[in-house]
Amino acid sequence: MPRVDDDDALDVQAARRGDHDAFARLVTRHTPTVTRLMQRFTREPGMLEELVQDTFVEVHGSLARFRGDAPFVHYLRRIGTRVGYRFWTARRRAVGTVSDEALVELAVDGERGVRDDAEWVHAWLARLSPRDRLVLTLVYLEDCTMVEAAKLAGWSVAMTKVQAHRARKRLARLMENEG
Amino acid sequence: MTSDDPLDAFERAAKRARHESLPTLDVTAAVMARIATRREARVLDPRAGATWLCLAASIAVAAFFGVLGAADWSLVTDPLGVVISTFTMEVP
Repeated sequence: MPRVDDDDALDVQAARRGDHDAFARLVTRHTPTVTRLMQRFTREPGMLEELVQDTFVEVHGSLARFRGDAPFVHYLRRIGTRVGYRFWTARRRAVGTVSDEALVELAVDGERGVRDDAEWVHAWLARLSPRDRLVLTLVYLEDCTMVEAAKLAGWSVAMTKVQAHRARKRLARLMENEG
Repeated sequence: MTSDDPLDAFERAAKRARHESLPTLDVTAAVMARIATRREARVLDPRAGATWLCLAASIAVAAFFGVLGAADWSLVTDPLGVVISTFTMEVP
């Protein structure tokens, strides 16, 4: 019994043989998944689209390395996480931030809409280092277990746990000092 | 419901933020165009192929003279220098 989704498996095999229509089908099928993931990395609509494209272009370039022993979507999310993390490190603290005034405006818990909640959460995460931001994004926003977060980040589980623990402490300290 | 612990407030907001609506993107055409551009750039770049060819030829010449025990390495290094300077030369 094949372990990967049948449509994906067939399209991946065809895309490896140079079938561009097959890769286009993969892109169309998984655009919402990648969009949701990349929305954790930027709040700018133009940049969001660019990161989604970057992820698929990178997936195409590394399709030969996909072993097929796990669902294609896992591979896609791993590469997307790498693309997003690289974007953060390249534009450290410059992306996804909102001003201090906006943070105060959004600060009343329980009176915000979902979009405001997302803005508020991103604003705090944007004040952390890329490593802290990545682990908290995966755990809190992507609802990953430590094992899943470790796989997406490419870290060991032990290191991910330590990173998450330290990141939580740093975020709490930051919120107490600035909140 | 509010809490004094800022991390609790953060966790609650993050849980709600997970359900933020997604923008609808159609990136398929743009992605395929970028992939095609990259592929063409690889295929059409004559300098990439020429560099490897020159490198291989240089190694072959060096090996040839090395095997023969020819001590005059200027026969190898001079042409190699010309090749390298050709590819690294700034075009005004």
